[in-house]
Amino acid sequence: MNTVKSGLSASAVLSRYGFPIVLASVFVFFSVATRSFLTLANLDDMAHDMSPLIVISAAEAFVVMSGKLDISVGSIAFLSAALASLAMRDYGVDPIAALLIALATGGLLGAVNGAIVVALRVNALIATLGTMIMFRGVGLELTDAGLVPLPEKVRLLGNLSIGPLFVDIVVAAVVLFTLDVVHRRTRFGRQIMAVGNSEAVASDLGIPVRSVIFRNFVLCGALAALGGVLTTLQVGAVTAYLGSGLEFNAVAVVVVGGISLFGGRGNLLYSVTLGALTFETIRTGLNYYGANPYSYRLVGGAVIFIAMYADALKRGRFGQNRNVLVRE
Amino acid sequence: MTAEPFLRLDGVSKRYPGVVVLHEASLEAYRGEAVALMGANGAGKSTLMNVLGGLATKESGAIFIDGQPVSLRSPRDAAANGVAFVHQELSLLPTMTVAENVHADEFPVRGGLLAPEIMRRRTTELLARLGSKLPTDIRVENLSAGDRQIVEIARALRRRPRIIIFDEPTSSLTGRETTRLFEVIAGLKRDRAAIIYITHFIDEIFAICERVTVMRNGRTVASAATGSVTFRDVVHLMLGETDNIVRLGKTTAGDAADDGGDVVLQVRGLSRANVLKNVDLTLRTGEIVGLWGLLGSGRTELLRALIALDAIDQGELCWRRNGELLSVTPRELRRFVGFVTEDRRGDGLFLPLSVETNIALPSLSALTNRLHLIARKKLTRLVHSMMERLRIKASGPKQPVGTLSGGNQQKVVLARWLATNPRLLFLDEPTRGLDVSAKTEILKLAVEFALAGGTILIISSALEDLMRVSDRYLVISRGAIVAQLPGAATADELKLAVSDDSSRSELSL
Amino acid sequence: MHVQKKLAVAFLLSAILGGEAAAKDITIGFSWNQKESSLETAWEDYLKSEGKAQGEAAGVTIKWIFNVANGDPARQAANIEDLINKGVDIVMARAEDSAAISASIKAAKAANIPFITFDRASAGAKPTAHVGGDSYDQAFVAGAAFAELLKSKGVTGKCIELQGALTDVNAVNRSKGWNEAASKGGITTVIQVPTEWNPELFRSGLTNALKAKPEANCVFAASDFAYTAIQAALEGAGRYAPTGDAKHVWLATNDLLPAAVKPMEEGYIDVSDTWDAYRQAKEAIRVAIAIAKSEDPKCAADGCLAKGRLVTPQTIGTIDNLWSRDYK
Repeated sequence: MNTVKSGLSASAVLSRYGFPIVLASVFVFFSVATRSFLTLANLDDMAHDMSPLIVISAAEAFVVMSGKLDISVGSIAFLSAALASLAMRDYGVDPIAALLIALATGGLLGAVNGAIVVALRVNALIATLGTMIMFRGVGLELTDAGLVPLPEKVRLLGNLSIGPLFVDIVVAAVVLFTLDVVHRRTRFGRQIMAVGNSEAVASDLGIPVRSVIFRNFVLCGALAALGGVLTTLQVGAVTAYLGSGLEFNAVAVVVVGGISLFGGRGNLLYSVTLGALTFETIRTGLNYYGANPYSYRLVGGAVIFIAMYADALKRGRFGQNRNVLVRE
Repeated sequence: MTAEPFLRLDGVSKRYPGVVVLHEASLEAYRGEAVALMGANGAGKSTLMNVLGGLATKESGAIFIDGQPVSLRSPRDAAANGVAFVHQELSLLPTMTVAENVHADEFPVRGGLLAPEIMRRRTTELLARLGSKLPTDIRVENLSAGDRQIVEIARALRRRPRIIIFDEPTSSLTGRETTRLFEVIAGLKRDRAAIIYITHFIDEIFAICERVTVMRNGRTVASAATGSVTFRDVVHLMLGETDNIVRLGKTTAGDAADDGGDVVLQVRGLSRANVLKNVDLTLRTGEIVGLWGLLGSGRTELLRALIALDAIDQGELCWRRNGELLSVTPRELRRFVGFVTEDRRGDGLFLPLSVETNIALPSLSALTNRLHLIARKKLTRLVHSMMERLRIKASGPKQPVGTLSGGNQQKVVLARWLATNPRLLFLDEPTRGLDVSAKTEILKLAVEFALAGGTILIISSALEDLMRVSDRYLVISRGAIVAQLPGAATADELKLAVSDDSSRSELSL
Repeated sequence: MHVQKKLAVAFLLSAILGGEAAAKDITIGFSWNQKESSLETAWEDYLKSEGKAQGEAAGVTIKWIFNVANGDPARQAANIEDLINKGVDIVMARAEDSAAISASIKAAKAANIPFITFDRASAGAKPTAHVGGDSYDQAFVAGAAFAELLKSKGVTGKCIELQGALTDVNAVNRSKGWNEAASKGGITTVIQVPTEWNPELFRSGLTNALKAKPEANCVFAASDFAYTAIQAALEGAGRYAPTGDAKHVWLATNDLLPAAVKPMEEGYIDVSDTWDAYRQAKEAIRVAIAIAKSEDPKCAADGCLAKGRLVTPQTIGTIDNLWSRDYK
């Protein structure tokens, strides 16, 4: 057989399993260095905490795998949650309807992104940079940049649990598993991967590239809205800070989890879980450790650097076989 | 062999602005047979196949499949009519599996979800037909070139095509993979498909094709059974008559001894593993040396190695400076050489930039004033003189080079290097893609350069162009200089010099 | 003789004019960056009322021109230019962008109009005066009062400090103020949690801190803007209860924003020090009048900062001019 097998050298092992190893060591460190980190209650809390991030990172992962980027997810989360909260507060809309409003808003905002990228052919990063600012601006206008508290009975849903599990963990898990199935087992999911490999080749093969990208953005928007709703429930109110920096976190989770920013690659379930867990562990661990507040950013930045470096190493190895197969 | 051709292209014409690419071209193919489609670069064979594959539109002519006229306006139309095109550049998705790639144009679904079982089964069947036992869940990026091609063919076969076009399929295959490909094609013929096989490897067509169609300058010039033609016949058909070649510039009467000018460059033992083998050559002032060889023989590689655009393993170079031949490294030699590359649009020119900028670029350091700023007047003067000398037709020096005609673009590249006053010019396919008068102009400029005392090493696949200017020839094959021929050599002698190969002979075209 | 007559006329005229100037009119042009929340409405009302009260006492009639920039620095710059062109006596502005406001300050100075920055300081050019809130004092006073309270109840304070964004000078000042008051008052800060002013981090950080330091019995929050997040964390830990209840976690905050009013009334918050719109407005008028009279407003190095006022559940009902309680 003429096929190439990747070697089992130390660097190969590191670049493949490097991240889980880092995560495991960090976890062990905090478990040992603090008293109550390694308790069921904390793990439960961590999962609870992570849920919005998982939902939004999964959405971002889809977009990244198609070779694009969406940095407006935080603003979409904010605006969607804001509209839903205002509807409840000012118009007495009931919670279920408010939830639907949030999701519909998210989808609509995603469609705006999709339209700009596909129809106007603007680079995705630039397009979503613009919408990030625009959506947040609209949201701030509507909420007077103030706090929109949730009605009391809705607020209580935020920390609702079924037995030992918080409800939003269940929601996040359902979303993640469903998206994974969509990714691996539906035409849409496979077409996303094809487009991420090479838009030109995908188009030659008859895949409706523009439609795929557009639908992807709509999906991402709706999921970002869901993430915004989950966060709002946890915190009990919509504040002007909701979702700011979230896009950065989502992309960081995606990259740290091992999905290449070049597109066309990635295992959703594994990557999103790994990435989210890594950041959550570090932050919670630092909380428990009582670390100097200034060190949080340092550690977070270091982790991202290591992830990027590992990704670059990985690409260096397969660099020649990037997305276009050219005759030698 | 049935009497009626299964596929018939008749009188197909097409033009791009200013250039006729197809003129009443025709082609016939029969079920269970392979017809070779041959022609030099620019002869029109790729364009004709693009028309058949729905990738290009024709302006006139008709296409008949199984006796019925068809309209092929998109790749989907072509596929619907049973035409499959296996391109030279594979359209595969590297991070996806074999099975996924084979089904990438139409993933089978059952109830909204992908049906992996169906994919796996069908892929295995298709691969088996092609004699391959590749596992279907391996990622395509991990496959060798030959295996990737099998995957591409498998995808093409999935739609049960009746006509299959192969475009230069063996360019990056090993000998063994080529043999396997031939077995595959034989199998496809047994299944009664009509195969069109584009290649420039002449001996392949005798191995695998029943018929051969030759195109030249957008026209179909001949069509015959492969059993009734020889290698030499095919070559003649492809190149056309090359007897009456009018030489430009100086005559080469006699040319017995090397009584040209002083030796300006001497190369000994230039080698690079697998690419160049012990190349020796000597160049003199005032001479134009034609570097003649087949595609893949190492011509461009030799030029690149001489001026350190590629590394070398060993070799000695001596360059004349101050009246003496002094040792020099390829990196140092680069300063004295102007290299007009093969791909003027790709790596020769900055297309959106102006004529002026393109011409002046390498000379900028010579155009500065005392403050190390660019002296506009000097630059303008230089550009003007170049444009005049080379008779570059542009609306002005500020015109973006991308909008010039091919011939004028080539002149801009030439002007750029001439502006640096080199003593040695490397011309790599300087007349490719140009019309007849533009070719003549470029070649005349080369001769002028030589007459003024410069030296030229010129590569061209167009034998007649090479013969119009070369004072002598170096014949290169597989990275080694295998023969030296005088300027008076005939076309036949030159063709012979390159066709004389044991295993794989190819004709560079 | 003619010259003397002319001089006499001149003296007479100046006496008349000077006399009119004694009952002075000053026009203050005020540029709001935006005016959507109740805080701005409260401010404007206080400014006008203080303008009237202090003005009468000083023999000055204050006329107002207000404009609003809707959150757009460029619009604000244009608005201020408008005020300058109208020939106002003093320009006051709450900057949308602390860097962009420099240009307007310079423009006013060029037109010889004094410029007072309100609430938000300028990062570039120095204004004639700055009026804002004293964030250090806020935290120090609250901390000192908190320490007193705990001592009187016989509680040894072991507090969790929820810090604001360390890039915000107010957050840094508050942390300083708190820590100094705490150490003087015998309170130990057992853990510092950075929240980046992000409500999600308020919630998760407090949750983790409560678990990491189960001995903690009190919390200092650098702001109560995200009160619901704090509530969610305490509820999650089963420790949300008002004063008097055994489960009660002693809580001191800064700002006393609308979201915190009810909780304090109900005894969940023990001590707070206001971000005092009333006092700031009062100080702003004092400074404006001083400048109008060409007197030195006597500001400290970082401006004329208005101290907040201490509020407790006992005083919250009766304290005057509490904007968060009065303006909805």
